[in-house]
Amino acid sequence: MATYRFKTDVPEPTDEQIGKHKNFGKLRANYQQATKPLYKTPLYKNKKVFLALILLALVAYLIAEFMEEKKPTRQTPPGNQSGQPAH
Amino acid sequence: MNSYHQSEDDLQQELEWIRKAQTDPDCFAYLYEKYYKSIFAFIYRRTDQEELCSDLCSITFLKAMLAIGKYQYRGVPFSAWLFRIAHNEVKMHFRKNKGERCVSLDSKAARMLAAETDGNLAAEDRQQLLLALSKLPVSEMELIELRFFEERPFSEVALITGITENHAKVKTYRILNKLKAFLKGSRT
Repeated sequence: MATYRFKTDVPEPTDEQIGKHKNFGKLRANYQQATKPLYKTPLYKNKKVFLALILLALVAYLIAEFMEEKKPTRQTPPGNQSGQPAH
Repeated sequence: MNSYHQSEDDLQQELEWIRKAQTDPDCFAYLYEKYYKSIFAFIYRRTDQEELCSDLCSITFLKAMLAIGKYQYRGVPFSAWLFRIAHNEVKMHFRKNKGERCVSLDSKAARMLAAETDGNLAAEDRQQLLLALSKLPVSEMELIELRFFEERPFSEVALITGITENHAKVKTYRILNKLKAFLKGSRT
C-alpha cells in the first residue's frame, strides 16, 4: 500500500525558484554525451566496458592456463631413459 | 477552456518547432523554454523537493530530446507527451526509492471532488475525504490527481497514464464510486 502526504493550498514554486534550475546548455551537453557513438569514447573511460574487458582478459587467461595443464607432456618410451637409440 | 487547452494556431506553431527539433537539437530550446515551468510544477506537486524535482525534470527533458524523433501528433498538445515522460519518471523514482508520495490539492479541487462524491466540505468531511483518498492505490490516485486536482481533459489523462480515453473515464467513475462507498460507510 502506497503512503501519501497530502498538501493543501500550497503555493506553486516561484519563477525565480524554477529559473534557478533551468539550463538548456547543460541539457544540450547531456544530449551530446548520450548520443555520442561508443567508438568515440576511449574504452577505459567507460567503467562498464573497462570492467568487461578486464573480465574477458581474466577468463581468456584462465582458459589458456587450463589448456596448458591439460596438454600431455612429451614422454620418452620406458627403458629408453638415457635417450640413446636401442641397437 | 483551462490552461491545458491550446488553440489550433498554437498547436500548428508548436508542430513546426517540433519538426525543426526533430532534425536540429538546438531548436528544442523553444520547447524547453515553453514547458520547463509546467513540467517543473508537475513534478514538484508530486515530490515536494526542489532538488529532486530539478533532477527529474532534467531527465524528463533529456529523454524527450532523445525520443523526439519518434514523436507523432495525436491531436493533443506536445505538453501531454512531456507530462507522460515526467509522470513515468516520478513513478519510477517512487518505485525505486519507496519514499512518501506527495499529493497536492487546493480547496477548489477538494470541493470539486467532494461534489462528485456527494459530500460537502465541512472540515470533518474533508478529513474523511483525505482518509478515503489515502486508501487508493497509486494508479487510482494518479487518475484522481490528473482529472480533479489538475483539471485535465480525459484525452490528456489517457495519454499521460497510457490508457484509452474510455478506459480513463470508466476507471475514474469506479474510483468515485469507491470513494462514495467509503464516505458513506464512515458516516454511518
